[in-house]
Formats: sequence, structure tokens, C-alpha cells
Amino acid sequence: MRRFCSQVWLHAKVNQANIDWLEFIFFRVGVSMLTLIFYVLIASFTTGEVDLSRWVVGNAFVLCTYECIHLIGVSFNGERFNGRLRSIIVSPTSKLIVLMYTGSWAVFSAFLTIGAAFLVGGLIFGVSFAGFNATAFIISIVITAFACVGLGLLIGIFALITDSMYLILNAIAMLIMIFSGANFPVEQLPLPAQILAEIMPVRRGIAAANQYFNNPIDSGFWQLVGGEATIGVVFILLAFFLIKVIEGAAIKRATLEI
Amino acid sequence: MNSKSVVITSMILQMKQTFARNMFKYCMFIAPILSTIILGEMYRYAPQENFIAFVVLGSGLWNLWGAIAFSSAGDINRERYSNTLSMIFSAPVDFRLIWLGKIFGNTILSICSFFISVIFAMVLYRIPVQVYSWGLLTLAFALTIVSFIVISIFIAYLLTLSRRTTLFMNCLEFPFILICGFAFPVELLPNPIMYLSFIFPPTWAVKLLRSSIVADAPDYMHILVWLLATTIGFILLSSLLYKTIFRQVKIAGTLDMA
Repeated sequence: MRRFCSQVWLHAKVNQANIDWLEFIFFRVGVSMLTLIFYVLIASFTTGEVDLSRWVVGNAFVLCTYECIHLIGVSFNGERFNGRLRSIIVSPTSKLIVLMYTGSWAVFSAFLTIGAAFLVGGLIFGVSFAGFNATAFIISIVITAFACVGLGLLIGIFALITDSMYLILNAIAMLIMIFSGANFPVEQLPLPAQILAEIMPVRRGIAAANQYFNNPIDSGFWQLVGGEATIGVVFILLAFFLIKVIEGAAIKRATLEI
Repeated sequence: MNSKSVVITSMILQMKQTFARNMFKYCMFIAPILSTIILGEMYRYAPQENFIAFVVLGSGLWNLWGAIAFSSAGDINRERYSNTLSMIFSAPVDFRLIWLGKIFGNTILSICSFFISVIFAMVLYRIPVQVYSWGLLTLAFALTIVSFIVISIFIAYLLTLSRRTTLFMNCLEFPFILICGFAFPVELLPNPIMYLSFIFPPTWAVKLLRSSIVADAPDYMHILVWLLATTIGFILLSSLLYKTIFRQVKIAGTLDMA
């Protein structure tokens, strides 16, 4: 456990070391906030609603896809670029654990991103915090980030056999936006898309945060976050079983180096 | 080699290189479909004229801008990483012609993403083709392309000054889509930001396109004058900027990675 924690911290430092204040302000804060503002403004224009809290919450949650899916998804890409992927493959450590080092930090990072985006977005769009249920909100964020990390792990292992990770990750991020219900009800989509939305992360997390925004927690809340957590566990199990197959394919196809 | 041959050769080479990249295939084929679905569902219950103006045109322009901005800014990064940016800059052929060819190449490919978006939106949401004047629309579209090219050149020149191209490239897409009112009227923005948006030619280009679609476009000429004025302004600014950066990049040595 101690070794795992030190590796998580080491990976966090590797990911954050090259970020200075300019990058932090422009990329981490600026782009995230502008993305949220963009969608909330469209919602305000199309619906004419005065209370925009639903869209602020939804779009703040969707922002966690960068930390939880993108960063994990390109983790092996970075190792390949630096020539370390071959060493990782021959090492006795589980490859999934290597991804988990990035993933564990991602949950913490996503928590900060969603929280900050929600607060700033809330202030910009005049969200009322009266009766705000912080406990329900925090639990929803953590569970949503966990489910996203699960999907990130599952997608991230495909970096062993493909160099098209940016294409895959960008497409997945857009699909999460569509299926999350952050900007429009999923019920508007055709039935096959609604079924697909059931197995995508974020949707239940957003629903839990919105429904219990200023309501006390009850069994319905646990049902939603329980469903979200189950999706995360299923993704991690799938990644666990798939990684050996993918690893074998990567060795056979010699895709471990540039 | 005359100027025309330089531009054409650079353009053809650029198109071949760009089309080979998986990320550009995402920008060209996948992003238009997914972003059209997002905007289409958000505008599903909006009046029809809004649907054409903000979904059909909005998603088309979003993808056109995304593809041009990412590829034109990304090219500076790629050339720098390949250590060929300084060679292009110091070649006997004018750097501006080589870069103009590259941006032409990117623009031609990016136009495909615009039409994919438009066709997809019209087929998926069964929008009848209703245009006030095809002549005015064609003129507006041609001027839109010119304004996007001018902005791309301006940005590409600016990016030669910094090695943080990846950071700025990622920060380019949403601010422009938001400020220039691709997906909602700029009048929704706070006054200072709305006035700022009037500096950029794409804001007027979007207004001109919308004006040519709705029946009885009274302010077409007014918008056209503003579009031409801002475009010419940016052309002059780009040529002044080029003279400055031509000297500055040699002093700062920012064309190479080392």
C-alpha cells in the first residue's frame, strides 16, 4: 500500500511537474470554464430558463472526463514515447496497477475540477446555494470520478496496440457528453442510444447531484450512486480480464515502440 | 519557383500529410456528427429558423473552425518538433507563401467537415432546405472561409513566438466558438465580451451567413461592410505582425525545440 501511494504521488508529480501558472490558468481553468459557459449559455437560450443550476452541475461533472479518461488513456502513449513501455511490459507488476497510479490521482484531480467549476459556474449563472446538500454532491462527484476512471482504465489498455488514442478518447468524451444528460434529457435519444446511455458513466452521478441538490439523501440517491459505482467496478473488471489479451497482442504485433 | 507554384505545392503536400493523421480524421468525420447531435438535441424544441441558423450552420462552423484551428496551429508544433520550422523560415522561398499553402490545404479539407455537419443535421432532423437567397449565401460562405483563413494566419504567426503551441492550440477552439456566437447569438454575452467579439471577422461572418438564410435580410450590406473591414484589419495586422516576429523569433530562438 505504501509503495502504491508513493507511486501515485510520483505519477502525480510527473503529470503536474511541467505545468506552470500560465498552463494552469489557460488550459485547466480557462478552457474548462469556457466549455461549461458555452453549453450553459446555449441551454439558457434554447430553454429560456432562469434557474440554470441543472446545466451548471451537469457540465461541471462532464469536465472530469479530461482527468479521468484522457490522462489515463494517454498514459501508455507517454510511456511508449519515452521508450519505457517495453520495460513496463516485461516487469512483474500488473499493467493495470501502472494505470491505477495515474487513475488514483485522477479521482482527486477530478474532485477539485468539478468542485471549482461548479462553484465558479454557479456564481456566474446565479445558482442559489440555499439548502445545498454538500454531502450528496461530494459523494456524487467521487463516485462519478471513480466510474470514469474505470472507463479510462478499460480504454487506456488499448494504447498498447493502437496509436489512435487521441481519436478514441475525443470520441468517447463527446459520447459521454451526449449520453450524460448534462445538456438534454437522454429520453430524447432513440431507444438503442438510451440503452447505450445506461452503461455509460457520469449520467447517474449527474442525476444524483441534481435530484439531491437541495433535498435530503434517501434510498433513491444510493440507488443512483450505487449504479454509478457498479459501472465503474464492471469497467475495472473488464480491464483486468482484457489486459492480458491486449498485452499478448501488443507483443505479437510489436506495437510497444514508436 | 514562382509564388503560385509554392502555394500549390505546399497545399498539396499539406493535404496529403494532414489526411494521413488519425486526429484529423476525427475532426473531419466523427466530430461533425457528434457535435451536430449535441447541438441538435439542445435545439430540438427551438423554433425552426433558430434550428437552421444555430444547429445546421452552428455545428458546421464549429467543425470548420475546429479543424482549421487545430491543424493550422498544430502544424507549427509539428514542424517545430521535427526541427523543420527553422528550415522553412530560412528557406529562399517566402515563409508566408509556404504557410498560406498549408492553411489553404487545411481549409479545403476542413470544408468537408462543414458539409458533413450540414448534411447530417438536415438528414437527421429532416430540415427542409429554405434559403432566402442562394447567391447571398454563397457570397457569405466564401467570405466566411476567407475570414477563417485570415484569422488562422494571424494565429499561426503568433504561435511561432512561443514553444507552448500545444497549450494555446487546445485553448483556441472553444473561446472562438463562444465569443463569435457560432451556436447562439452574441447578444447573450455580457456587453464587454460582446463588443470584443465584434473585433473578430468570424463574428460578422456568422451573422452574414444567418442573414442570408432568413427571409428579407435587411442588414446584409451592413454586416458585409463590417466583415470586410475586420478582415482587412486582420490582414494588415498579420503583415505588421510578420515583420515583428521575423526579427523576434531570430532573437528569441523559438523556432526549434532546443
